[in-house]
Amino acid sequence: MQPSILNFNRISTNNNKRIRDIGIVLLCMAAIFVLFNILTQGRFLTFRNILTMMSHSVVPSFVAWGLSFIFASGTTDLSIGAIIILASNAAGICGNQFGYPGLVLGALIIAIILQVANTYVFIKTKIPSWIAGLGMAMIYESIGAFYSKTRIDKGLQVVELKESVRSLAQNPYIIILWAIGLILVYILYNRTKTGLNLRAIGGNKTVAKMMGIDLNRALMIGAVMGGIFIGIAGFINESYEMRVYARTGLGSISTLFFPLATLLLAQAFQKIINVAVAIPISAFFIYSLFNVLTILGVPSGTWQEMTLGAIVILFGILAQKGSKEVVK
Amino acid sequence: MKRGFFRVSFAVIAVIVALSVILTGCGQPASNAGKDNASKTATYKIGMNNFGKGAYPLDIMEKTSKFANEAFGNELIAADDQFKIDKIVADIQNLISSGIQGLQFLGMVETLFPVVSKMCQDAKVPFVLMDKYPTTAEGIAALQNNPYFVGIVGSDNKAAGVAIGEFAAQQGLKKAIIVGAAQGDPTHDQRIIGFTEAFEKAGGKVIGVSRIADPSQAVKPAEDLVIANPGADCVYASGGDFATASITALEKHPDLKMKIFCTDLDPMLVDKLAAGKIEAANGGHWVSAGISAALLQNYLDGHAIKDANGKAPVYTNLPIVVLPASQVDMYKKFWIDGVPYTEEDYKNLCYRWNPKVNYDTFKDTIANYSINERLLHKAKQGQVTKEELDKYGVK
Repeated sequence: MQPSILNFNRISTNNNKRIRDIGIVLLCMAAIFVLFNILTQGRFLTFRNILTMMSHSVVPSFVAWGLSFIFASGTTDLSIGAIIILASNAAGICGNQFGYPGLVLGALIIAIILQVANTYVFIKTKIPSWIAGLGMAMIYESIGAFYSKTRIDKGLQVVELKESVRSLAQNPYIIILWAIGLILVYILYNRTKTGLNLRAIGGNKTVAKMMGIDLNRALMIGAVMGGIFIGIAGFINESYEMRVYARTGLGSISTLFFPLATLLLAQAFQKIINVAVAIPISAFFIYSLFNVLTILGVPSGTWQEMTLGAIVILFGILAQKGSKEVVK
Repeated sequence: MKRGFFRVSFAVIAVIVALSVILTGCGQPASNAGKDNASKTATYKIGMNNFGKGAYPLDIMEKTSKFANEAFGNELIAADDQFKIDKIVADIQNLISSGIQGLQFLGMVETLFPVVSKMCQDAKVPFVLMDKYPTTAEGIAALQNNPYFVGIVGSDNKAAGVAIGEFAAQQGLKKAIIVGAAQGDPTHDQRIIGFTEAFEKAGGKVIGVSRIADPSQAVKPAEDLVIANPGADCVYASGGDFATASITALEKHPDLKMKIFCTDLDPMLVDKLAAGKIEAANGGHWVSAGISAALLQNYLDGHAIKDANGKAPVYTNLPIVVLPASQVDMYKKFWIDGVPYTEEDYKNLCYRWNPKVNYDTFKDTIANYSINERLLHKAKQGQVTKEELDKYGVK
């Protein structure tokens, strides 16, 4: 009897500590938001601005969720930005032709195929994933650039999604998608064998193999799951931006910084908040910084990008705090 | 043994490097500056920098330059700067190393003009500025002291902003927000200054500005600015991508009634203008890419155009045409799907095909540029009927 009571007390103490820590984090965020509101003379904490910030946090959240599946297995794939661009344009082309089914399926199919192709390359070539990812990024960017040039030669631009198919980026649909994504990723990442296997592989490949995990199969399934969330990010992005331009010269990597910062901040919180849940909170918090900078007239390309770079470094440090070795 | 091996290897490498330098030097075509190359068969390799492929206002300049150069029989090589300022110099260097005989330069920031001027002077490659140019008289004078400087064909971007600012104020609009490119871009800086000065002089007030480095990511900052300033009654977008972003941002908030004005006319914006989603727009000044190609052609053919003081000409008054909604169809036909200046028009600016061409020929061509002028010219060429001219109000 005694050991059960001790365990119960320990669990209860840990839960209380966790709730307290979550409360502290949320209180700190609230205090920062109040400060932002003062700095912007009351323009920050309006209902419309909060709703807008939430909708701006959706795409980075989905990308970060996708990254969490891919990075969990120890893979560093830098081609995801380029995949999103291609998925967004595929969503636009198919959406204009076939409506909402085309919009969704176009992005999902492209994202899943390309993510699986990347993982196949990583597995077969055994090249470090960050190197192979850079190479794949250049290939995907070239495809996007070729498509863009073909359109320009006809006096057009890259595909523009018709207004009739852009509802998924409007409130409340975008918030509903966000909520569905959260539930889906929580279940897949924490409650399925694949999620557990991916994290086991990311922890130690050798031990995972010895535990009987089929590494390649788990990585491929992880790629599909990551591809699903990146595909969702693709069609929401196309719906929001209406047109997504091609990038060249590895410029697509810069589109990953915001989701990467989101993931790193979420990982810094993962001791107290599950990473799947922490991601949307982190995305919203980081976006609020940019919202304030824009309201205050700080131009992008200078201080805004410097802020993002500092955030990536700071949250990277917080996320790896306590690690005694070099973390990839 | 080891030391001997290294000595031999070093000698071999040194010989290879020396041969490479000599052969590369032999491969560089001699500069044609000052030589009479009015032969009908002389062709040139021309370089230009596209600040970012995929952005319509930049790609249309490359397309126009290509059209004009191919009309002259030249080959155009366009380097993609990938929206990176620090890549421009490297791209120009690479173009020069590849053996170009002339350069059409798009200077995205003021500080690049003296740098590229020196590079071209050292490499003996003539260069012409299109669209963007130094904003100070001293900057222009410094360029004119370079014997390889061919001239400038650009627009008065401040005047473009002034025109829109005055128009907005005349509509009774009082509070404006501005969405534009990154600070330091000479084109957008001048447009925004012009708009702000004209709008505020007429009693209005600019209550918010968002300067965005990456036009492809402009929707969210534009929306943030719109949300933060719900009392604004108009938005001025200093470039096409920013106008698109502003339209997209406002479509998400239909209760916010802000009129949109913009400078730049890309295919989508032209449709939006016709649909009434844009109140007024001016643009179409990318023809500077073709006209500057003609200036360069004359220089390479040994008949450089000079102003009254014997210096390289500076044409900064290329009008940024105002497009009324009633003429959208014509604009689409001849500016977007076609070309406002034909091959014959560009050749007519070159000594090789028109020995009478001089400073005033360019001056008049540039000063007269407008939608009406081009349509009337096309009517003379038989491309537009009188009925169409009447229909679109061209007199």
